Amino acid sequence: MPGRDEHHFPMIRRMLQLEAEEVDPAVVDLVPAGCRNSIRWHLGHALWSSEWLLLTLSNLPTTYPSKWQFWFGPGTSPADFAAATPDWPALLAALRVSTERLDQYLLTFDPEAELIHPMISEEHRIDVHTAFAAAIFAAGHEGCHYGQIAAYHRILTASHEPRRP
Amino acid sequence: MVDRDLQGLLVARRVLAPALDAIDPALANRTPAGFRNNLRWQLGHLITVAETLLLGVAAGRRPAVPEAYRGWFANDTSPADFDAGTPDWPALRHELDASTERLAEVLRELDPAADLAQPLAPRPGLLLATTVAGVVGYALWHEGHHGGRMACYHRLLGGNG
Repeated sequence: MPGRDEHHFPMIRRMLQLEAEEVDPAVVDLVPAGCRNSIRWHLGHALWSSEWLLLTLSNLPTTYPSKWQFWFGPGTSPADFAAATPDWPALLAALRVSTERLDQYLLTFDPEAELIHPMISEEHRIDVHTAFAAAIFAAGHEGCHYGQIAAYHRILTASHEPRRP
Repeated sequence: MVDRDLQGLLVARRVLAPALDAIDPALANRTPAGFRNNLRWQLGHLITVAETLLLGVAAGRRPAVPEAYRGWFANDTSPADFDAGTPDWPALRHELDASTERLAEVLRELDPAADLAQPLAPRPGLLLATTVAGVVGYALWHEGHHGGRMACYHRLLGGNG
């Protein structure tokens, strides 16, 4: 039953969208002490990675230009940003476009379809061969960066809001 | 195929466990400035919710972690709810491995396409899942969410990694 098992992903994406829309744009380029990245990087990385998992591994076109990989791909950081790197409003717009694309993909996808480019890592014993496994992996990955965006936002705005008792 | 497809959570645990082992246990009870929780709470919460979702909601069994975990680590708890019986960092680290083994066993048996006895909807208007696959996806998101927070806490407390 295509699509049926996947409805975790739109829900998870909605959480990311709500969190991103609540972020104070004034702090998105700040790097908290001890950390390496910014909220802008985490959101770009989460968006790039989910399309990579759900679309690229199945040879489907992405909604982002390929150069996003050099700003937001694995191992990148804000130090790699250039003048053309999407700013915060552009990332929020890209999030909406990407979410529509992924929703559309999930309506028709076959969970058991074999990926054209399986993701295999011997180090972490990762063996992602099917569209379903890629969607599950994307859920964990978005969760990880959602958690970091939420934590960064909290720490970067802590001086403006009263601490909970 | 089913077996392999539900294994994402085990991959997440294989990444999480060595990251936790790199944390100085002395940091586990410190709350970073601006936050409400600490690493010890985050780890207990991660274990408790994964068991509740996968053993409880998905498999229809009783979670194997002690019932008291809910009072220390369920949603809306915090270290302010801890008492003398709350497991410390080494005990939670040990419980994580034991729990991962229990989850590995149950993930081998679950049918991702099976409908849940009751949809997972913690409050009106928030439907999280209607199938086993949906719960597994949500559980993995939750795992990543708190793993990500722990990574942040650790860096904010001056730890490496």
